[in-house]
Amino acid sequence: MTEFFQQVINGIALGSVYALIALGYTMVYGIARLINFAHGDIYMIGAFLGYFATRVLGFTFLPALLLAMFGCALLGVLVENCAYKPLRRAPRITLLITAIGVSFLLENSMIWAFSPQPRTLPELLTSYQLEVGGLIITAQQFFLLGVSVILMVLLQVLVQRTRAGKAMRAVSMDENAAALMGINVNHIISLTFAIGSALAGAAGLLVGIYYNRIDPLMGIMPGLKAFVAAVLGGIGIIPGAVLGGLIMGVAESLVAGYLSSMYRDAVAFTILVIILLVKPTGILGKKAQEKV
Amino acid sequence: MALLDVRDLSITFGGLRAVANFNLSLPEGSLCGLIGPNGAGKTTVFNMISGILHPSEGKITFAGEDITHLPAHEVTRRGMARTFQNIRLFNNLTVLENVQVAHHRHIRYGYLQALLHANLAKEEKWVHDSSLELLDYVGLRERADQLAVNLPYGEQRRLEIIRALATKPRLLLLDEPAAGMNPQETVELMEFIKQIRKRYQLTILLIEHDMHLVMGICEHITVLDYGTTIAEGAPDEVQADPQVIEAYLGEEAS
Amino acid sequence: MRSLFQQFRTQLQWAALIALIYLFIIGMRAAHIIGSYEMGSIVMAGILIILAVSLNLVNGFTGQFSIGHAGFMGVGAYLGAICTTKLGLPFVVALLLGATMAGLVGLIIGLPSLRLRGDYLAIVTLGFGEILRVIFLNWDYVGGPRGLMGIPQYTNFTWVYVLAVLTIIIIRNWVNSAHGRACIAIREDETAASAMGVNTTLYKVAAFSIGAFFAGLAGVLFAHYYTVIIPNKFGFLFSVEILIIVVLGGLGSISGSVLATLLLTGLNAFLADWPYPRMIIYSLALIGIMIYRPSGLMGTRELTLPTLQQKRSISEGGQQGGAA
Repeated sequence: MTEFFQQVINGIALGSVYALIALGYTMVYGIARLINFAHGDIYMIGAFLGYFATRVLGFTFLPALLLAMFGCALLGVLVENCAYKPLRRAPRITLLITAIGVSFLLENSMIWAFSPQPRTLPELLTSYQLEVGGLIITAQQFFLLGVSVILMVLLQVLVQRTRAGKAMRAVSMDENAAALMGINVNHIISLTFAIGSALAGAAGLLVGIYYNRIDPLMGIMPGLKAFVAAVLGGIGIIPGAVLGGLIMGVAESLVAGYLSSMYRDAVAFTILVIILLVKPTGILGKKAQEKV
Repeated sequence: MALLDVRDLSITFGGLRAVANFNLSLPEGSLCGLIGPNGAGKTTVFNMISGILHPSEGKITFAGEDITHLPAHEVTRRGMARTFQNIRLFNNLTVLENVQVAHHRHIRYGYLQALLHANLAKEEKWVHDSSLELLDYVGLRERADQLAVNLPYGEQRRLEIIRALATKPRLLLLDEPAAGMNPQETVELMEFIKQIRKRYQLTILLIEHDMHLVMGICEHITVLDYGTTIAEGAPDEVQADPQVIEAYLGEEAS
Repeated sequence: MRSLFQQFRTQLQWAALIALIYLFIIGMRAAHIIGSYEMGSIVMAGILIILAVSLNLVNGFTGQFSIGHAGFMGVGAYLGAICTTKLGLPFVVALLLGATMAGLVGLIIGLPSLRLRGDYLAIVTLGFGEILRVIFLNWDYVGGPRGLMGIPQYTNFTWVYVLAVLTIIIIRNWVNSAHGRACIAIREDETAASAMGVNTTLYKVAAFSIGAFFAGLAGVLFAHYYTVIIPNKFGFLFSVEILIIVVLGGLGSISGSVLATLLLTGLNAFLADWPYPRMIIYSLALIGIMIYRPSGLMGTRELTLPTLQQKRSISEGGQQGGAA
């Protein structure tokens, strides 16, 4: 039984990473109807920024986190401006392919610049472990969960309590109406990309610390899985991303623990396929109607 | 027996009852109109009858057969065709190809024959010739090789109608055929509708805002407002009905 | 419509051209102007043509966004390899069984998936493609993660050339038929297509399965050329490579797919010494094309033989392909 709860704890830690990345996916989809395939790679860049901050600049945890988040936010806005903005009115397949192109560009640029070899981060957090009734919770897991929760709460406050947040919600519902209300849609879209990318960057750094291993292709799988999480919870719905992320994390943890870690990746795609065939709008999603 | 018989047709979207207890009986060969203010549910009724939307309640009988829950392509195969409020042509296909596609229900040859290009020349030629003939009838033959999206608006509307006719329907549903037309064009359209009704032995149900057209050619009119029928009958009856006048209050009839 | 004589003459011209290209390449090889390395590229190009044209049927002509094509290739590759290595069956049987199995898998996956549209369809095909890859990865009978080795090298230039030409002809036949027109109508406007009597789900699944069939065929050819197959080859990354070719050539242009394949194969060979910058160039090019010329090289047009630039009467019909 403790084995089970241990896996659940691991799963929640993993899930909060997925949730952070999924939030970026879901926010961007809600605002721009775009599946940003490059999002997972922004997470990877966050990890590398963290590496740079800690190994080269000798930063401690919090400054490294801020650098990673800020850097990724900038990158996200840059990508949006150069690659996605010109295609706002283009058909979906064009946007999707462009996003794939950006993803490849980021990955291969990093491989070229840094070689595909994995790197490690220095010890940033204590190796303190908490033991509760046979369950082990590491300091890293605490941090992972703690930082994630703080960020998510901040996001929630931003979206629900600030004017910018209200503007974001308006744009995601009806871009034209929002523009007519005097909202600068371009700024809001850039802001959304910035926030989503910052969260992914934070996730990258946290994972870099947690697993102590980063490489240029580390974003592909978590990116895909986080995307599944976003779809699972209901794409475009912020609480959905968190819910989806947690479910994905726990499911993956349990399968890896009880079946075999070979099937880790299969979990994500099986969930994806099932949810898309059963309820494509996700757990918290509503059915959309096409006007004929 | 009526060609189309609609009983207690209703549909609910989310919490909103968009159409409630709609009834209609179309005798074969008749030309009837469905009118009402914007948002009354007219196109929704069309969508339910033609199989694009599933009604929540009610029954639709076409030529004696219950077609209530049939999908659109099955409804078309049974002899019902329609045009759309916002023209839905196959934009990147040519004018000719648009009409060729509509011959689909008549095609007999199968997938394997298509893949191997075997034994289909005769049917293809028939489709080709039939399509040209139809285009000829509406004066679009010269445009046959042009992309549908490049046609001027009036010709696009004509193309949509003739495309619907290629399916050889018994019942034709026209959704705002005169939208965007000036009075002269509207008069021509009225003539055209009367002509095709005679030539192709059609029963026609049309949605329109243009009162001149509706009163001019419809034999029977049903008036819809907020999803319910508020009046029906011959044109002059409906025109004088106080409820109808009230529903349209403030609306300019052209 | 053109007269039977005109059609026959065009077909003869194409046949002559096809035969000439074949003989030309064989000749170049025999004269050692082309080495075995170049031949390898040519064979791969042929396989890619089959993959690109079959994907174009689904994505380009029917407008259904599928990014799991490599999975079907994998089905064909593995089944074909099983046929020859484990069951000792002849190559032709492996080709037929591999392709048919891939088509069947396409049918099974397509039926539930094709009710979805746009982004959702893309993602579910991605998901299924990855599930297929993970199945291969965990299937010990075919070597699991180490893959399957010792596959006899039955594939050669002749096989690939003939099958590539056949694929092009068959898919072109489909596109020019009423069934093909139905698929294109679905791409243009699914609601209107169904209102015109087209069973849209049926046709989407049909196109999907046919595409999967030919992907499987390409897979068998692939397995029997490289003699080794590993599961990770048949994943999302390769699906995207094929998609890039199709988009580059033009969604809805068969000749576009062929041209784009040849162009990319040439570029690959040219940039072979710089693998990482090569991918960066491709990514930038892909983004650039999407922004500035999304219709690709050919858009929806097809290559026609020069002799057909005669005055054509209006009754000769539309844009799709003037030859054969």
